[in-house]
Amino acid sequence: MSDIVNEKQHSALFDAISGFWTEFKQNRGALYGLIFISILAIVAIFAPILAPYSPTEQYRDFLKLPPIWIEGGSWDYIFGTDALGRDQLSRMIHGSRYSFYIGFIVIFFCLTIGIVLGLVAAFTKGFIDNIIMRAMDIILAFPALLMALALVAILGPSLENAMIAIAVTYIPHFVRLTRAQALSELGKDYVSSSKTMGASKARLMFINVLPNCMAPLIVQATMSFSSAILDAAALGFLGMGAQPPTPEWGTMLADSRQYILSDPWLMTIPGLFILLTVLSINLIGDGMRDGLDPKMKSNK
Amino acid sequence: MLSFLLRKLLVLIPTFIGITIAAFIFIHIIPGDPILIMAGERGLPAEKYAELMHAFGFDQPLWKQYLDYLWQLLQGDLGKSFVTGRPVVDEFFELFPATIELAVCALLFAIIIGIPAGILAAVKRGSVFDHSLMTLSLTGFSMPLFWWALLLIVFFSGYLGWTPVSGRISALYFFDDVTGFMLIDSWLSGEKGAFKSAASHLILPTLALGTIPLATFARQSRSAMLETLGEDFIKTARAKGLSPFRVTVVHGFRNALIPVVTVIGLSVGVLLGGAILTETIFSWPGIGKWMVDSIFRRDYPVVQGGLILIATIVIMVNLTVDILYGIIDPRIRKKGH
Amino acid sequence: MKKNLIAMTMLAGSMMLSSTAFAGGTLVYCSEGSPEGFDPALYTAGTTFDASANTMFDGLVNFRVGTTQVVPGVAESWEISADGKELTFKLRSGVKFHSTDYFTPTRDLNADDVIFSFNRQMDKEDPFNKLANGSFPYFDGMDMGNLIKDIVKVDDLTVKFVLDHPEAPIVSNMAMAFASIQSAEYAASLVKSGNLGDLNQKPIGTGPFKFVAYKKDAAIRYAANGDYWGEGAKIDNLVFSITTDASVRFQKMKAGECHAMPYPNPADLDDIKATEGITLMEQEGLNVGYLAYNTEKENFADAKVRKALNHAINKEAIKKVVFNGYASVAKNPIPPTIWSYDDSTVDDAYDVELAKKLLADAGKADGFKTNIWAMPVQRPYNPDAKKMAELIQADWAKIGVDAEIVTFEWGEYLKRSKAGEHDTVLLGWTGDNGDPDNFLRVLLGCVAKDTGGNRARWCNKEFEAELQAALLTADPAARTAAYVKAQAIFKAEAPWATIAHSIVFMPISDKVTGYKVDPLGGHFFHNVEIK
Repeated sequence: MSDIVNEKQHSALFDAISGFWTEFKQNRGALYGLIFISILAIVAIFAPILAPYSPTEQYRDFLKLPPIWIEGGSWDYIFGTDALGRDQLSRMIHGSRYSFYIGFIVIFFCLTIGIVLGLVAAFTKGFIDNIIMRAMDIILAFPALLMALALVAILGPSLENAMIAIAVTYIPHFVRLTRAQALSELGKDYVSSSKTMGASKARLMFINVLPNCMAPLIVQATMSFSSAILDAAALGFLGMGAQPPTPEWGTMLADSRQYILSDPWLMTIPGLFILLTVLSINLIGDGMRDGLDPKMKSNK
Repeated sequence: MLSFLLRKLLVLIPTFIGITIAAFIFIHIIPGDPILIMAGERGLPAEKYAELMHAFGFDQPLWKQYLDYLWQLLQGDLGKSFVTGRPVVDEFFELFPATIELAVCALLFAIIIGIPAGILAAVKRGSVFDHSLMTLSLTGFSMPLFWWALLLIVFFSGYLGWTPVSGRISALYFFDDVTGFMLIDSWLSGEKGAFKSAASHLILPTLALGTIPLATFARQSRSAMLETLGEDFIKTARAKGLSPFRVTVVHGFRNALIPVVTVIGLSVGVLLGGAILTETIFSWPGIGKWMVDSIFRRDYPVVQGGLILIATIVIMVNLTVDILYGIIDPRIRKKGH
Repeated sequence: MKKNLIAMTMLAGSMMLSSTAFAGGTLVYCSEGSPEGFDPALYTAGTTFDASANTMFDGLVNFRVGTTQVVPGVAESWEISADGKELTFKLRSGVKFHSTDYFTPTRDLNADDVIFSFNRQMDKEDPFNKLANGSFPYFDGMDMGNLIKDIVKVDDLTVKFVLDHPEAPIVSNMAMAFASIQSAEYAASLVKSGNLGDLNQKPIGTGPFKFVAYKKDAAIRYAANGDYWGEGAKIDNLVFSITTDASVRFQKMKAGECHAMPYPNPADLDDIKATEGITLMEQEGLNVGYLAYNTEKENFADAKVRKALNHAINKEAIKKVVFNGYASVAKNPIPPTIWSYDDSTVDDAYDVELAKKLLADAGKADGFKTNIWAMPVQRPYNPDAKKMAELIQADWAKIGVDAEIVTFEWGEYLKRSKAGEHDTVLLGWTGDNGDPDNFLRVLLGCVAKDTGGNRARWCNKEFEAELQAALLTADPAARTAAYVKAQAIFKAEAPWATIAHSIVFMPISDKVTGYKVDPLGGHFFHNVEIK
């Protein structure tokens, strides 16, 4: 019997994925976003091979060299050099790794902690549910950036601590979403029948209910991926993000702030790449929502 | 309705206590203390340092400091700033109008442009307008806020010279606060050009702070509208031969409003958070900048008091949204939360 | 905007005509931050002093603007007893405190005001001392409480300070912001009305400007003090328009929204010079930026290692990158503008080979792991500590020293470096009074090891002996000789890598004349005129 179920699930899963893909690729924006992110991912993976120079090597004879498309630029440094004479292109290439790093770590924390707390809240109800949800209310009552700022001040300024602080401010959204989804799933027939068949609570939570809650969570995670990159940049701007000489884009943007008038490209390049990355991920998120949410599908 | 309200209010009590604890703990476990920050590069003799720690009560155990603080709080006293020596509440309410003024302008800007644009996009689904609006709004949503704000300054103030660079009003106008809202006060002052100056100072911060809510509203109202347009009663209305305009505006709009109200409510937190960056860049004398400065100075009473006041406001706004929600859609009242 | 500014200047000028004899106009200064309060004794920040001591208050003595020369303030003359333990000030007669809408003085300044101004900082029973929880950071930091034994009113216009021991820079100290003279009469009226906090919120001084209003974090407004005892302000109104971002400040100047601004971005200096209508004024600052080695850590106990690291640092590159070229490389712990500066000192030249050799001599040929602490704040002596740290990090890597850059939030940074947790730490100092003692003893003296100023945690007996010798005599020649010797010991022992002395800049509108850049970092406006 279990084989039949598995096979059935397999083909259902396959149908779901291919249906999702058909829907997804119809959204041209999402497709462009996916292409950009894929290229960026390749760049991130092969950064040490692709980067012409080390991201931290200082070429002190070439300070603040403009990029190639501005007069005075040189083919040796296509994106120019920063105030310390480091190659901007190499820094951007290596920096792409940090963007993925930030995004993945933050959503990893959010998904694991958010799902566990959300499911526990939905399944226990009563006292524990109340405690969890009030704690989430408290976190949500503080403006996210202010909260993150205070947290980084406590933990000490570093990229890792900034990511933890950002994750903390996002977790309540995941908890609420998981709980709401789980509650609506819990009312459905298949859950009660599993229950009568004597399935354990953990099994119910993770095997029966969770997979059916995943769609909105994945969309939320995608959106959080992009906000995490933006928030890390904002913390960097307030001096609470990655520390030198890390070539993290947000910090590069914040560090070149004093050159906004004299050498504007120093801010333009990382700014533009953050924008493009975040935009691409948001476009993908949009496409995924269309593909995963049947209600939205009908509107397209 | 009354029991719905009561239930909502009861839930707030533990949340509020939690907020005071969180605010207190936050600032007290942040390393560093205000005494050393004041002493700066020079430092202090060790015995004087111990003496000051005692005078400020920092040598007490944390739980005792918290209980003292809570006791003060229950008497409505948020304490005095270590730095300026002024009551936290006074400083808060001196600066809060500036933040409100900016937030309201940003919100209005976002609503007035975002919602109609979103609705129009929904009605003209698939058109060039729809596509470009959606792309633009997503771009606005993806912009690093401080970068965007600096770009606005460099372009509009630096390059074009159209708008003033920062602050709430030209430094040459000086009149007493009446309401604390510069637009109103400048108008009441009767000084020539004051209102114009105040209004022109608002343009860039409003644009910077309003961009993200604008993008959210446009997208939200578009999808809400699409959903409503697909529902049966609209189809019926169309079939009945009602004018397309009437169908869209009267029937569609009202029903699309519910999710939009929620988003507006949620935006208050976003606006207060965004105010931190916007106020820092535009030298806008509001509570966002005040909080950041105070965190850096370890001004405990200000950070604690400020966090509690801000959190209270956010909670109140959410409560109001919940109530509005209940009024617009009676079904929710029964469901609870 | 420009038109607006001119129109308003005229309007404001004509409104003030009734109270002042000449129409000097309004000067708008785009200041870099909000003052913490208006009582200079309570704070240490230059921003606060600009808004209080430098505009509204006088000391017994003042610094002549643009120099570190001590000139009479509200005291006409002073005298030091032969044993150096008694300091007597003769006060000027007819000095008036400000008349404002919140206070009208009934008497001129006298000895009581002087005694009140100092007493409240050391007498624990004084209500203003209690209000501040006893915190007077400058007074405490300089250990004035133990230096001043008593302050005696000889007559209405004569005050005598009785000291515990002679201290040569004491007169210069009296020109510092914390020694501003407050009105005892005003203070008494505040005690009576219970509004003690007003001393800090609604200041009354004797200075060239008086307080009109402060809008928190936005603007401060002052008016010329028509009753000033000296040569009064030549402008009618002074406005501080608070603008925290340096690029934004420059934009405001370009747009004609302000006449002057402090602390321009080093990166914008070329641009500022090229801007029509703006003059970039400059003066060598009385400051030093340094990297202190924690001499208590095993790796840095040996002077050879410290010397080796000094030779490995390319200071010219730091000057170029961090200061955009606008600084001079430092070889002594005191800046060249201070007397007793020893120009014969030979600096540790940038020489990687020599550095390697010295390191090998010290038995550390393979290098070692260490850290560089970089301050999170901008200071005139170090506008970008993170960049500076990155440069030093790359330099040291060449001799096998692997340094990690560490930074904390400012309060934490000060606390931990005071406790000696660092290996090496970037910091600096801007002089308070133009005396070498204010650099050498505050930053390198043995006592400062405990108070925190001495981040190298370096206590050298010979060096300390020279400092003490110079402290106890008032003879300038003897003091100079002692300080020159001290500088030589410092150079040989190398507790610091001296990095740079920065130049202080002040972009100012061409409409403004008479401004002088203060080497001590203050901003003064009573000498300026607007065309």
